[in-house]
Amino acid sequence: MLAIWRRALIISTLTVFAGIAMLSHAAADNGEGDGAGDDFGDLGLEELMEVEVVPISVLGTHTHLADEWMVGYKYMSMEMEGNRNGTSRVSVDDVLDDFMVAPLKMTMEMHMAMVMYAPSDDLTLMGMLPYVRKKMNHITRTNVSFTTKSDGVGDAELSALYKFYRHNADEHRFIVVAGLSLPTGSIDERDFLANPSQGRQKLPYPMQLGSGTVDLLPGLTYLGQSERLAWGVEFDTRIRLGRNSNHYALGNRFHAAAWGNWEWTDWMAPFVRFDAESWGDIDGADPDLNPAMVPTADPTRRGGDRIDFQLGIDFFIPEGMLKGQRLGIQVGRPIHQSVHGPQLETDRTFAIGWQWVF
Amino acid sequence: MGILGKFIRLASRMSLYLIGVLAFCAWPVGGPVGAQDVTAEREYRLKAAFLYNFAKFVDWPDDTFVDGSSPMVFCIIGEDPFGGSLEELVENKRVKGRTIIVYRANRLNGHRKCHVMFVTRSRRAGIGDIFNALAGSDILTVGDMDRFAHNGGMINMVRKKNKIRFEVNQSVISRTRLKMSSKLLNLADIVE
Repeated sequence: MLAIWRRALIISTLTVFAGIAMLSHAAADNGEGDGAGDDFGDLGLEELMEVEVVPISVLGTHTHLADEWMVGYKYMSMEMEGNRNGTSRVSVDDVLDDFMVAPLKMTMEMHMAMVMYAPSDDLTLMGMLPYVRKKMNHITRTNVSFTTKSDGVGDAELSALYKFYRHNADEHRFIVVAGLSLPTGSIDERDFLANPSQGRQKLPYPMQLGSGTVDLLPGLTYLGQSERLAWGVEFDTRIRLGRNSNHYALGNRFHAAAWGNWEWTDWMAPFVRFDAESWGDIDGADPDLNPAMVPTADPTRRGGDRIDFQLGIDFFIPEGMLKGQRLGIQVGRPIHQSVHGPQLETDRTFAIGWQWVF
Repeated sequence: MGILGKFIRLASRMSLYLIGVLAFCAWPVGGPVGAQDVTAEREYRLKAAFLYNFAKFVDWPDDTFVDGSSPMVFCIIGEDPFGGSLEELVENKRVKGRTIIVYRANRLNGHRKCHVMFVTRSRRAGIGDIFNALAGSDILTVGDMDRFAHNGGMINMVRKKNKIRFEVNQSVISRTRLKMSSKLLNLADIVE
């Protein structure tokens, strides 16, 4: 039922946004906007001063122009069902041969608030704070099913993005990213397990909300842009600085992405995107977790790598009072995944986000 | 794994990704879409429209025209970045009742017939000589390079927050017989 309501909410939001964008577009066509099409010769000075030299429609890591603010919200979800070891699927019975409990399914949802500010054309500062909800279904050797849940604030991130190279009016840009992830997310989440009489027990690693460590977030991004096309490649890492208060450090993560989008109209841009990620096993172990109980509590069974293929579409408001607003929606599926298993396999990802630049 | 091992592993991964990034970047630079040409072309179509508008807000003395029907002359000095878009824009347009013709030159020979002179970035190195040669003449000098107006040009088009703004050096204009409208001055950033 919740899924139906969520879909209805998303579809109606999308419809309203697309409607506003189309009306704005129609208004611009009727000469109510700045009319900044190809024929600049008919524009007056004030109108020319409002025309953007390079139409801005970039995805992923990006910088802003001096004194610009951006606020945004993004909802992301990931669904995982069934277990996998390496690139092969493994049955629940196979998992229960080695462990007391087998995970069946997991849903992760994240609500991300973000703000960006550019003190100059070349430097943009960014802050992000996620709210995370996780749910995992399990089954025991004695055929008892149970579900664990956790939710709360995740790890906050602060980053500085510096555009260190640009060529020909921002058509080709390289951005270096220096960021920190702060341990604001809990690593002591508890819930009832198969036997509620034992009280709330420490939840395994993937059900915790944060890393518990300060992490370095270095990255490098290339952005290319023409009048109707935008493309980019980015590489970023998450390097853990030591172990957390529960005596472990999550694995370092290495992420690379490549994307291209096409500004079909001045209010709509479909895109394709590939994301490749590799992450390591856990260094150390939480003494409250028994690695023989369930694979998710085993620090040596947490690493893996995955490549996702994603399709999406961005909607922009080019004119009027709502100018600068953008809504993006994307769906993705893995085209490759290999894990130090057994681990739950990823089936699909979904994200919808809103941004407002002012 | 020790810190050294982690560093070596990270460095080797970063090198691989960097090679991938550079390989990817090689495509659009020389790729089929001609991306850099497209945006540069848009920027100069926009600047051509500014040039045309500047001329509408400046008055020239009558004796700078041969007669009442002679055209207004836009000159481009240096390598032409407009690529034909200026002619396209001014075709069938008039400024103060006069048609517009576009004249190109690498040197200042014949510059006395110009009413508007766009000095391109290719002439940045010898900009001082150009200003000395034009001193006191009734030619509206326009550029789009750093400190063009500060160094003696009249109007400089600059990019700010992805939009074109323009600087005006009033003291240079005051040494000529050109009259610039208050509307143009109100929209400009005044520099000395």
